[in-house]
Amino acid sequence: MQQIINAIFRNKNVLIYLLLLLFALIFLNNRSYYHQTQLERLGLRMSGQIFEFQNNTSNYFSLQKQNQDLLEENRLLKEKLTSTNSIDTLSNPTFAISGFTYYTAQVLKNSFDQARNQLVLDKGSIGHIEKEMGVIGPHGIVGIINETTPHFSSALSLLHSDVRINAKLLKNGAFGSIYWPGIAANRLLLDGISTINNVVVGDTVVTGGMSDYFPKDIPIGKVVNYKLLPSKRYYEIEVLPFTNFTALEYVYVVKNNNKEELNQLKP
Amino acid sequence: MVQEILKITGQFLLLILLQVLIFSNINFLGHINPYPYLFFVVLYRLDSNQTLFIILGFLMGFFLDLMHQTAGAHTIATLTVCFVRPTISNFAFGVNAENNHAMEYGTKLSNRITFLALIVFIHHLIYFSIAIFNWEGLRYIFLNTIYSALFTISILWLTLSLFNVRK
Repeated sequence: MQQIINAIFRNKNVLIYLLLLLFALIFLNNRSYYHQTQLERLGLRMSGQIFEFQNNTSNYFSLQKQNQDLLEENRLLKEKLTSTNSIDTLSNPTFAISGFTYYTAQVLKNSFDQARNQLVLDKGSIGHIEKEMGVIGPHGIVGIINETTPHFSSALSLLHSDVRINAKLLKNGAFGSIYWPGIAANRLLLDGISTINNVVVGDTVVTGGMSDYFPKDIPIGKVVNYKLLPSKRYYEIEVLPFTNFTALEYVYVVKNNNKEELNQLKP
Repeated sequence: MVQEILKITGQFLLLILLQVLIFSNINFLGHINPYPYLFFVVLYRLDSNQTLFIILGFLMGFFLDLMHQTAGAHTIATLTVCFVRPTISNFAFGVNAENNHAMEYGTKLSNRITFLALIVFIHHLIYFSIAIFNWEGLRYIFLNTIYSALFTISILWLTLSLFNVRK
């Protein structure tokens, strides 16, 4: 004990210096938006590289499963393509459907156990990824891009307590907004559905057309339970997401080509 | 002792005022300013309490940052230069030097210049690195450091020559 105290006294200048330096850095970070973004980017770049390495090694072992997922997805896409007759888009790696452009990306890091979960993707501004693009997985929506560097980007997961997305029930088209209440990675809540609509357990929840981030009718999940809110005017609906947020590998990033034009019309 | 404390406090406040009111508004050739508040770092007795010196350096940077509306560059630069000053003085004057006022006559001219220049350059380099904080601005950081440092060193040197008396 005595030795510890002695060591502290001997190095008190170093300790005080580090303490004050830490304080100054916090001060810097809080006072200047520029420095804050730069520090965040530095962090993103570093973690991006580390997780890319980690991912490259762990990816190798799940190739079989991923190939199956890709095959399944390709099959679905081909079905869609034949029904829309836009075969010429096949030659293009990024294909456009109804004003939206798709880019593929790989998930480097994915959290699902915090109150604000984020993903890190392996493509950044060089790969045409921009802020506020939507992110879609093989089974449904995943999140929204919030920060990009030249080679990486980070996205707010749908499991982020600040994210709300416009959604509707497939059967009767009633609109509401979907969000994550926290706790479990497989429970979302859909609210704002008025009681004049009929809610059925097992109905599919899809994205509504009012969101700038996603195309219409992208699947989100299915209704597992619902209850009347105390005001008796709205339902609160429990939704099981189709996307398994704990096992994401490949995603599509969606760009809304008409967004700027749409924003001009909005007040 | 009391006299010493009063002297340091007076120096501290006067330097902050001079820096904020006069020297930060010189804008020589557009944007080159000297930072003669480093007087404080140079003049503080070498044998005085180093812990207090670090805290005072931090406070000085902090006040300057508040008054300049800058984010934290002065704080980090001044704090760091206060922290490494013993190393600098050992390097400049030798480990066993027996002078307590670094910049008084009686030491070698080359030693004094090394001491002053190292303090000013290290401080300015850290200050501009943090203020600009951008890889693309690297050239700008170095140019600014060199010009401002030369400016600061000349002001410090001239003032010291004016007030220094042989003891």
